[in-house]
Amino acid sequence: MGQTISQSPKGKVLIVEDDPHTQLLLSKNLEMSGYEVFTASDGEEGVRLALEKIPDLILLDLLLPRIDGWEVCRRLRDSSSAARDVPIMIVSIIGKDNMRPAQTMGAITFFNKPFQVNALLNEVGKILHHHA
Amino acid sequence: MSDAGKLRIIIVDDDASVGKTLLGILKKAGYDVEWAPNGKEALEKLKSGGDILLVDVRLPDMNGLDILREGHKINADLGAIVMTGYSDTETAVRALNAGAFAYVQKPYNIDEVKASLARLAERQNLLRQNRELVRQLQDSNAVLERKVAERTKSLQTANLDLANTIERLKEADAAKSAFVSMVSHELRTPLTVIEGFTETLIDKLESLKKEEIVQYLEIIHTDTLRLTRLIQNILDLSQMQAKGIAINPAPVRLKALSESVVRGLEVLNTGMKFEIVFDQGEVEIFSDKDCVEQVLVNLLSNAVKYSPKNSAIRIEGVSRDGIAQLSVIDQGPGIPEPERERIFQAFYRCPDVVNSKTPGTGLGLTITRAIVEALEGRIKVESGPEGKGSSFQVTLPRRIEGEKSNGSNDIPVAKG
Repeated sequence: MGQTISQSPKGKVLIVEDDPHTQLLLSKNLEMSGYEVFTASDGEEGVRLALEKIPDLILLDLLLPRIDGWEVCRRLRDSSSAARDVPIMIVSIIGKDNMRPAQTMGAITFFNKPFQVNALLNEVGKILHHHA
Repeated sequence: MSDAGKLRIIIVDDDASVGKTLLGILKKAGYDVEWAPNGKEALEKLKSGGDILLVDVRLPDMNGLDILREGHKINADLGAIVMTGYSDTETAVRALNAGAFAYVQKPYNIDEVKASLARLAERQNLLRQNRELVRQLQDSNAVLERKVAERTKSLQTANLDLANTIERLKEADAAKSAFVSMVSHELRTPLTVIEGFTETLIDKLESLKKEEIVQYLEIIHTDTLRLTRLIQNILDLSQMQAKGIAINPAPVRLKALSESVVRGLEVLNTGMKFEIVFDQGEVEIFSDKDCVEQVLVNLLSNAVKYSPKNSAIRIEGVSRDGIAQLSVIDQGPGIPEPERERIFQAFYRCPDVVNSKTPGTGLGLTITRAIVEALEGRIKVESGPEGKGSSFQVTLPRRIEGEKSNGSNDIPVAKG
């Protein structure tokens, strides 16, 4: 699914995003910053890849085909795999109504669309540094 | 029952001469009088109406006081004067206790009888009036109660109507919120891409390969077009919702109109083979030409977009029973049964179409259906037996009734 850019990547990032252009935008920028990237285009594939790859960070859209982002969070948090502890960054269209469940689902940060690429890359760097 | 004005008196005396003499005297005095020789007959007569008994205490078949008790069961207001041959006060007291108004001793003094009867008659008339007043009061109470019940019912109905209206407004409000949230999502998705790739190009131009730069610029271009289309469609739709769709009824020749729309599309070199089939020849309806044209353009553009190159697109027109039917039939992938209603909902797109990355806003058919409904018509879609090809069927009245549509206020939005 993903491709390794450098020999010693700074970390593994899973992107769960159904819009192909947004997915490409995120994966290109993360790869250029030296991360190993995996991509999933729907919620089920996202859960499967998270369990298989145990990434260091998941960038998660909320409005996804098959199962939505909340369900992805729930399934990972309920799993007995190491994937349950992977930090999740919600990158989606976030309104007042969907902030509250986000906190209870244990997502650690939010990026509303449209987002600034540099700000997002900085945040990813900070999270991976803390959790390293 | 005796008539309203006149009181009916029944004389009960086994002595026929006494009875008949009294009968004569009282008739002459203006009373409605009957005579019964015994208790049984007296009660029979009372059943057909009687206000006053003039009764002898001693009768062959029953005691006069028993007749009085039985008589009260027939008419609770029955008045009675008891005639007694005994000169003892005991009988008088028993008669009064049994409900008699007065008693006279035999041999009677006729003036005394007349005087007692006159007072009793006055009492009976008062009782009758009283009873009538009570009846009127009860009637007006009943009327009042009925009116209160009716008013209560109409208030309850009004309350129910109000609750329904509130429910409808809430639903319309929820539909509007869903629409706004969907619009926001649909607008922000291409904006994210445009903003993000622009930022990437500015910041990382030096480290990007030429192919990457071209690819990103193409993506920006595609998403800009997507945004433009989306904004146009949203504007069209919100205008329809706000102002309704202006309908200017005039004769519309469906075959000629189809030919003109197809000529417009052929200029674009779509590579499609268009066929126009009107078996009965030209079909003329009274409708709005611009609206019908817009419907045809939308359906034909979809057919072109979703069909294989060089395939045939067929427009069929028929007329029957006051309606005209236009069908746009393509050789595309067809629409699976569960999708056939949802494709008309705002922002809904078939998963296959999304996967094939065919551009679209998910609003075209929503707009098309809103127009068809403004034309008092219906639109539905069918697919071929093997699920291949789509046939969009628009049914329009031969003659449109209304002048202007109020538009559809609750455009259904696809969920999730």
